Amino acid sequence: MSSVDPLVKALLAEAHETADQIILNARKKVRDTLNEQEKKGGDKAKEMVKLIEANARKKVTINKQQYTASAEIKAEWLILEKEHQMVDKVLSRVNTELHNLIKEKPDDYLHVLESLIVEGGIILGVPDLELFLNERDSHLPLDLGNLGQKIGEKTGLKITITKSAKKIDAMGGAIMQTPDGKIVLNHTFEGMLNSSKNEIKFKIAQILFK
Amino acid sequence: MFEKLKMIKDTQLEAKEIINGALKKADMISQGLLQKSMKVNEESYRVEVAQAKKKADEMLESSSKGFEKDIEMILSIAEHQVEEIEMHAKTNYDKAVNDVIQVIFYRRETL
Repeated sequence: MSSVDPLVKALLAEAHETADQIILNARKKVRDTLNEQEKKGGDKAKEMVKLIEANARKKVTINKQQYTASAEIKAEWLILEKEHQMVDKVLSRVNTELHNLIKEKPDDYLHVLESLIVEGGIILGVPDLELFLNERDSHLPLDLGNLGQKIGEKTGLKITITKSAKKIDAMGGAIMQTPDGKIVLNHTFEGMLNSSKNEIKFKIAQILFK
Repeated sequence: MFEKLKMIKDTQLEAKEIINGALKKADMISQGLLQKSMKVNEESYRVEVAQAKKKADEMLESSSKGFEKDIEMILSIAEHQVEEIEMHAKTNYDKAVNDVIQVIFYRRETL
């Protein structure tokens, strides 16, 4: 045995020991790094999952609000549409009834027409009035002198009513105007229904749906 | 004497190589395992996210079925209200017609 053998053996033993330690350290470092990465990856995945779930819940809420609002609007429309239909049905029936009344109660209608003419004359408040009637009403025995007198009693004017040769297309009532045509009053049934249509519809609705 | 010194020097070189070899092996261990770990982590992340997306889709789908029921309910209530309105209106229908006739034909302010 040479005198250097123990030294050589010691050198090699130390080298092997150091090498083993290096590999052990490397394995430990890798294990620690893997654990750390796994934790980070897990946390990142959890965050992403939370985000996806939160977005899904938000979307569900928004969708629900949209669907519900849309359905509620549709429901409102269903009700409004039905109410409009019912009001229009009343107006349609009113038209029919007015036609019937004119035919079936001619004396009443004559009285109504005279009232409309007197009312119109008072509203216009001018001495000369031109009266427009439909074909049928132009043959009715209207005492225009007497009507003018009634208007005069209220307005203090001497009233002259002239029946126009021109005929109007209306179920009943009259159109009245000044001779120059600057002031016109539509006192036909259609005109009266039309001029206060919104008010009439509102009041019909009050009666129907109260 | 010279031979002894040479032997020691050779042994030192051999020891250095042993350590260098260990260092290379350590480096390979680190690289290999880290790469493998990254792939595993990526796959695990992808799987978790895909599951979450699937769950979110299912949540949306099941909730939309719930909405359909809500919508049916809202519309059903509205239809019921429409029927009630119609019935109620029918009761007052003649009165409404008559009141308008009174105003328009008989010139009475009853509306």
